[in-house]
Amino acid sequence: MAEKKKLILNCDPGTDDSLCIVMGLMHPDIELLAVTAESGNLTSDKSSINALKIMELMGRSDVPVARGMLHPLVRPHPSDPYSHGQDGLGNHFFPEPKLKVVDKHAALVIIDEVKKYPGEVTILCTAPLTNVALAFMLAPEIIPMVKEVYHLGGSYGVTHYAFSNATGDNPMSEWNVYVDPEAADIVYGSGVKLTTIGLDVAFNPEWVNILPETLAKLEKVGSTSARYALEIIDYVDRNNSLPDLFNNGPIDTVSMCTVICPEIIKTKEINVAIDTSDSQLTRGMTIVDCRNHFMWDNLHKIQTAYTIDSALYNRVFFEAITGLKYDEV
Amino acid sequence: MIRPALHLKHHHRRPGSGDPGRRLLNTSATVRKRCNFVISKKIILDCDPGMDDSMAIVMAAKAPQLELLAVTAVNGNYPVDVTCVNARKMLELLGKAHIPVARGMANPMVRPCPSDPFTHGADGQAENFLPDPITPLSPLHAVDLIIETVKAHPHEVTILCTGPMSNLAMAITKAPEIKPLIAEVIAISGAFGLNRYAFANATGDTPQSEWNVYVDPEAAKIVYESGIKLVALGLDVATHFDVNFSEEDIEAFRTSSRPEAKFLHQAISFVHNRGFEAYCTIIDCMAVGYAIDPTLVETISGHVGVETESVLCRGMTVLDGRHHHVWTHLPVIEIGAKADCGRFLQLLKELVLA
Repeated sequence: MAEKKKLILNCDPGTDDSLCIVMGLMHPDIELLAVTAESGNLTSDKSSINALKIMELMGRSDVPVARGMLHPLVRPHPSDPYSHGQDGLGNHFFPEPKLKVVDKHAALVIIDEVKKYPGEVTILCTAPLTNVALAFMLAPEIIPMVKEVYHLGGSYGVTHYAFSNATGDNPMSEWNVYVDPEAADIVYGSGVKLTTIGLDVAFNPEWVNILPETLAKLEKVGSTSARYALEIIDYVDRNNSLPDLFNNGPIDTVSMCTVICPEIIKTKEINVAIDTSDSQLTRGMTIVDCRNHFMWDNLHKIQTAYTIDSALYNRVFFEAITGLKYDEV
Repeated sequence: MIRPALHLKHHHRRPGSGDPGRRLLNTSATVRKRCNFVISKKIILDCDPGMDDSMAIVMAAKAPQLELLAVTAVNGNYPVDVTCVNARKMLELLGKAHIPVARGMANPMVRPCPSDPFTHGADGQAENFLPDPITPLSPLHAVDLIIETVKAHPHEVTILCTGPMSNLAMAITKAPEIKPLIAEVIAISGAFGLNRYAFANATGDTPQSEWNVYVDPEAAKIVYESGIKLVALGLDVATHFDVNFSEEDIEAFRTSSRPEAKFLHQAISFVHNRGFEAYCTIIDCMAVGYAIDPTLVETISGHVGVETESVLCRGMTVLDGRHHHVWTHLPVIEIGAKADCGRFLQLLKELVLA
């Protein structure tokens, strides 16, 4: 058996983030080292409690949850126009958790785990990059020790959903980058091996959906995690921005599935800059320079997803939620 | 529909909509044959020649469907002292020296002028080195010539902007009463992300901007937000690789007896020698083509903001294409979405060779 992939999940649960925690706990190929709670969909005081609620739902107390920054590096925290429900978990109203967050800041947890397993730790960020940027600033020596970073973030103009589904509070930006563009700029420019999955792919209703066949299998399994996933998918489906379209894919799960099975997506290198100005129109925009001539050669060179295997996404999603083989159910 | 998911209203240009006289202006050959006369659309060409602006002058001055009332020169591709000379060189080449040329703004409204990384040659006209003009400039500043011309023909004048919008923005700031008197503004302006050409060919010195807006974004913002009917033909339609000439076309220009055809031939050779495609010589001509025949370009309407604050996005024309939370406070303009490049080229070739 292949060695498990060591993972830190930096997230802001959030409905779709909460499924990523479930998947990280359930999938046999993943060793979830820690969950670091970010301020994004909710501020980290609330998102860390939500992470603990999911731990208790899953009956797990072995994975530490750390609280991160309460607000972006240099800006106030904006409020999210997209509803994750009153509790941030699709109105599940789980009981207050008995588990506690660890007595260490999220950024320090990231630093210590990376140093404990140099070259082995993958960081998945389904939230703004505040905690990761802070860790990179506090301990730049860990940057070459991180195996790779995946970020569910940005809009790259690969498909028109990049902007028609823009989630930041202006026409051109994605929420996770919009909330803390300075943090994104630091991580994107850090030299760490980085793959981004933008709205182009993750919020593409033609590509990212949980298919009826998968839903039926989840019903059949009926475990705690399967039932929770069905409820979140239903919540996403009822609250999506395109009520006339079948569009139930929990966005963040695309990135968790990619960590588990990188072949799900295809990526290409892009030259990108983050707009950290105070421009109302373009703050947080991930600006791709694709000019034929006079291209700026000093921008961040990163990998971004341009397509996804929808069927494989469904298989990996199911297997990560249930811990079972897709074809055996 | 061009991009159904955008939920933007898609307009097929309807000849004659609004002004009854325009039915005749949207001439196809058949309409012209049925009429004994042609009612011309009165236009002001505000430009910064520039080789492609020079070709826009050729089309505007020769098209029977248009009545070119004035050419107003602005700083842009080259300083205004060069562009107002080049405009007169072109009109003299065409034997149209009676059309007034006015010198306009020497700088963007609030910024220093950037230098254009794309060269139009030592003379700004693809090194055609036309003779120095002998016609004097209009005694009026371009801004005042625009104001007076619009007031002399209320509701009749279409303004074509193929350069930065400094002159027009100053005119409507100085004399806001002309705003409702302008029939329409047709501009080579912006890049709206409707296809890959929009940004792959970005001409401003930021990744997603078009040169004319990039040079004077504040002026563009004033015009976009003015309430004047604006049709913006951006890089999405004006730098299409399909807008290119065949070997036969180029040979026809070379062997033509018309000096403007030889001018275009030299311009094509000039850009070819520098590794660019021939479309660079005629980008601005799309505005004139659209003025002659609006069916050449399909447009969509959309909410657009002009970026004036960000260093990285300066001059970007931000189209709000969101399904939800659309900013309706941004002005609605018409945006060129798809051009009939074949018919446009045919029109251009006929006018150049006529």
